[in-house]
Amino acid sequence: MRRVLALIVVSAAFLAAAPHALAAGTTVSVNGTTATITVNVDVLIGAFNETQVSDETRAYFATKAREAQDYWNQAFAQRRYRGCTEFKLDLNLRVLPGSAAHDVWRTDDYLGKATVDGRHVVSWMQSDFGGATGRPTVFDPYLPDSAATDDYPSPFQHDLDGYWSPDMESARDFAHEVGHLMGLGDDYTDAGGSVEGRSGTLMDGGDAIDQDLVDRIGKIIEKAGIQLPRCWTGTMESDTSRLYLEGVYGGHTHCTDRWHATLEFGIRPDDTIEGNGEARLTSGPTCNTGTVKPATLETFVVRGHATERELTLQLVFVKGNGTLAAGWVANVARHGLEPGGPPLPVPLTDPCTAEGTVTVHDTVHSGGKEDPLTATDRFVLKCPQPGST
Amino acid sequence: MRGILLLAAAVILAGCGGAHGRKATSPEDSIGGFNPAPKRINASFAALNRLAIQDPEGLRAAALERLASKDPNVRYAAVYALSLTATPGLSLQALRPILHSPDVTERVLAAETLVAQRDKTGVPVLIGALGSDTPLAHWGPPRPAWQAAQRALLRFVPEDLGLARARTLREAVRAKGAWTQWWAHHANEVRLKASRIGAP
Repeated sequence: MRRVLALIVVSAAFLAAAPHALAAGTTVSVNGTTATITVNVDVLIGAFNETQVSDETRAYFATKAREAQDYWNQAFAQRRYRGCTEFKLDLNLRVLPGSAAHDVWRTDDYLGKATVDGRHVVSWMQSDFGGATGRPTVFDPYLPDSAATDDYPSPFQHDLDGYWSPDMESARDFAHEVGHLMGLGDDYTDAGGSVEGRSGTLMDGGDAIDQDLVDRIGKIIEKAGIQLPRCWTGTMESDTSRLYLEGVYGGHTHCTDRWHATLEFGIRPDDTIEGNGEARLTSGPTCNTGTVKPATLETFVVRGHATERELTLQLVFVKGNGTLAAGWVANVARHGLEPGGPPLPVPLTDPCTAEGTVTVHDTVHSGGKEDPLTATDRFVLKCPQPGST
Repeated sequence: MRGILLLAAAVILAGCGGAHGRKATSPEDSIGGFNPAPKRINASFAALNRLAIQDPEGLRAAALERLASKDPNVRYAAVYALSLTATPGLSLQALRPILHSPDVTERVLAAETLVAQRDKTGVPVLIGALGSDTPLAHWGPPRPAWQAAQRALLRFVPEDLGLARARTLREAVRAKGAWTQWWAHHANEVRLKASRIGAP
């Protein structure tokens, strides 16, 4: 009994002294090759109750949040991490009165502000006194000895707090500060000037989101222990055929064509595969389709799972721009009707290469017969090495 | 009985939040210990900014005591802190001599605060700073003095004279000429805009 009570005392003391580190204001969710970075941030306005935050103020910050989000997403759409992962920013910004926050000891010597777990808090530096614009600042108390130019994973591990001010006016200004909530350090130094090679970037005094910033965000996320998709890209050469037993071609007509497809997919931490692809007709069809326009472009979703030995893909029809005369449909649907082709096992030849040929057979109902379909698919799949773009 | 006492001790310890050993930066330390070194600059500004919101009286008093410091870092921190916390009266008056500082950063900080508090003495100083390409000291992201002056003038003075369109020093200097002339003729009648909390 005495031991139990002593344990309670020790536990209580430990819990009370533990730094506040329950949630992370910046999160990442992965879907296929897209990693959505959600920055949850509460902006505290120096009012004392909810009604004192005007609709005009809420609208102002909503506009700025949208602009900053667009600023990043326009760059993310053009620049991928390790050649595959596309980041998307979801800036979830709320405007709250100062009274909505409470003090919290982030560490033993850093007193910050908090609202609820899972949200960063920034105080808007404006009050009835003073008047000069405060210097916007996000301080990472969990890595207190890191330089202002160092990147830091803390936004993905903890709620942080900071200070924004009317010094921030443009979308660029807000995007810079949001960059800090994705763990980016500054590209300038207080000694004057830019970090070498970083002049003009968004994290300097400029407006450019270059590949280096995108790559740094990816590394920060991985440093925070969050797994990003293992990205793969590749090609598929598909020779397909359909034997028309009866119907439009009068029976026993062998129709062939050839497709070249590009695939792009990610392998999630649970080894499931998600991605997409598109196939273009490169020759054929060998049968006359008459007035019916033959398909030349097909898009599909890539699903499946990975093991240490192989990648097993499943291609799922999304849309096409015409009629499939030969056997491509066997890759992406069952019996030409149900989206989702058969499993396509592609052996790994090394951890970052999968190559192989798979032959697919199916049938499609036509004119009272089941026409046989065949597709012979040659896959070459690669995962870009870290650092490649 | 002993068990109950131990349990009570546990509850008290938890209730105290284990606060022993925890110490936030004081107003005096935030100014006296201001350090712009790469590993300390964000912590230094975070401390000053936090105190400007949570303990403006304390920070204001500490700033007033250190305005005459010979240490450039302490002097800077004192001016910055006072620019965030000054109120009509002694603290605002203490900013007026700083309008004549040889340091453009100090002049801009003092002038912006005076103008925000509807004291017109800061306006010509801000107009003068439109001609300066000197970076504001310790600012981030980097901002030249003319741009800080541009933003302050447009926030608090109900005029434009082409200043809002200025994207370069040359354009700011052009607007500076128009503003100088305009101020010379209209200083007495101009009513400065009130500082607004929230949307600018």
